[in-house]
Amino acid sequence: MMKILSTFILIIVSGTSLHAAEPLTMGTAITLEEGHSEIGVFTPYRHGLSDDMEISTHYWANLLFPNVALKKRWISNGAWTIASEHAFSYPTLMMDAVSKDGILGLLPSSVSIPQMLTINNTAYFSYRPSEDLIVTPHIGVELTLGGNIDTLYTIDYPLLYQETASYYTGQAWNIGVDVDGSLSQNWAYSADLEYDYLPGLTGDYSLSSKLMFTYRWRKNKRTLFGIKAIKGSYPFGMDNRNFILMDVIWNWQ
Amino acid sequence: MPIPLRFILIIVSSLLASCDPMNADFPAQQAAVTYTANTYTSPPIPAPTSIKVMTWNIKFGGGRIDFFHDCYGDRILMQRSEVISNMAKLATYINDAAVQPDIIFLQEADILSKHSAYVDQVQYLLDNTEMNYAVYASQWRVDLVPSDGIGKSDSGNAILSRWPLSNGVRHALPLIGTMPAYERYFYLRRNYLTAEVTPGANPLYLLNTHTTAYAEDDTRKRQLDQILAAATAHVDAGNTIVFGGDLNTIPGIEAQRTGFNDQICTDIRFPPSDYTGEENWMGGFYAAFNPAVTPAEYATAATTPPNIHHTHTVDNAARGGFWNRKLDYLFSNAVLSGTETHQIQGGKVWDPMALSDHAPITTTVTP
Repeated sequence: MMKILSTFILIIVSGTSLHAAEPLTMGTAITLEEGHSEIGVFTPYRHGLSDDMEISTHYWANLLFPNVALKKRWISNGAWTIASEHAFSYPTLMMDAVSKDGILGLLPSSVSIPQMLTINNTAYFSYRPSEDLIVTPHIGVELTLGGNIDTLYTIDYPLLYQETASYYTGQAWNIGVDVDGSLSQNWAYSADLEYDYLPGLTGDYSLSSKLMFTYRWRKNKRTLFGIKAIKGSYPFGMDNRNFILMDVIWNWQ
Repeated sequence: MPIPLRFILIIVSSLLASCDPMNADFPAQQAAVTYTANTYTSPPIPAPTSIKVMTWNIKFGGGRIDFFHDCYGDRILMQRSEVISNMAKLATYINDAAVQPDIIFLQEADILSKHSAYVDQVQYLLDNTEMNYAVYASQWRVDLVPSDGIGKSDSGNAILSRWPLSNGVRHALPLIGTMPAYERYFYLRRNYLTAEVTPGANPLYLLNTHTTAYAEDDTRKRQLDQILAAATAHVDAGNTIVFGGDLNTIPGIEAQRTGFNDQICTDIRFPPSDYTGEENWMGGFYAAFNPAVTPAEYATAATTPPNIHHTHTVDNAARGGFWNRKLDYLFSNAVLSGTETHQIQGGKVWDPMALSDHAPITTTVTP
């Protein structure tokens, strides 16, 4: 274990230079510059519409989960940047697809899936004391119009439960803080702590935290890996779970 | 990160990275989960020389709700109030003065399942009967069954007792070999559960099991052989053992082996019961142990249908259904007496027909 850790630290230190890797900006008030784009296998496609506005979508999910998000930077004053993100999605098709008999039936086929429109609004307050560090408290609310699926049929599995909560009760709240920074020329990190409040559900809160690292192995390619831990309440009681994070991200302009 | 599909990144990658992402797997042997009643009921003092043992498949506390797997309905999930109501009826039945067992073998007891509203049925029966101790072994423990909306499941076999139980062990039985690996991973993992109880001077060894119902290969035969070998090993060691459960196998001496009138499924996942070719599968048990219901008693009862020793039907009484085959058994190397298959026939007051798709059996063991 110590050998692995030592090797890991050596890789990070050996890459240190004056030109540090750009921190991840997904969970911050920073928007992509105009004309810049970024895409991952799992992370969304993002594009800078202007220097203060970014559009994003989970491109491969659009067939069953039409979705688009707009992030607008409102204030940029010294080290502080304030932005809001407004994500619109239509989850009815996806929920309908998993409400089925047999394999991949996450809900019984008899469950009535209503027409739903989800609006996820988040305000970001980013503080960037240096190029290498961004600290971002954020607060958000997800509202689902028409979200009134019978709560008997919640999907009681970590993350799925929290992510679909508003489809049952119409709302879900979250508050948290992201810390994103660079470690060296090629290494960056992202950590967060988030509290979700899910009013109306039997299990109505969760606390989650993630720690991710990115390694830039080409000018425009990064590998992302890390771990996410979540502790939450569910209809059956409390549960703790750790998940591995992996992705590859390309960016271009 | 308020991005709606972030969980896909996490879950897909986690599934790829983990060998047992849904916590479904078990080792060959594992200590059983132990339980204690929240309210202690003093067992008889001194301990009786004979002990009454019951076996009962309680069908997840689902009573006679028409579930999708029975093909009479489409129910998957129960409301908590339904489960509590059904469990209360089971407890009342067990507490009846004419029943009152000392030890119970339960099959299909849920302890943390979405489809039974997460009611811990083992704890419920401990707290609402005169049983004080229990051991439990999961038969179907999956964090998320991604099929039919079943969701989280933890269901299995339990042994309940008035007296303390020790050395509870879950023993894995063979898995169905013909299933694709992805299906087998999420499917039931059959087991037999062993424990010891010492109400008097000498320990009594207990074994409770529930073998597979839908295997189209020889999986159930291999499971039966393993159970028989385990029970026989106790005899060889000089122990007194009582064992049984839902063996999903008919005695083999009856005329009807297929075409039961409650089999209406067209879903290929739930093929109709056909015991043809399995006539001798119980033979080893009858040869080596004292059965609660002897083949002679069973054969005699068969001459005046409906057989008073049948223990199972998928159909309910409201549609005219009645017990139409025997799948549940109790055996011992000790003397068994006073056996009852709990049917409302022959002047009996018992009618568990509405409580489960299996009738309980009780017998008295004299070690």
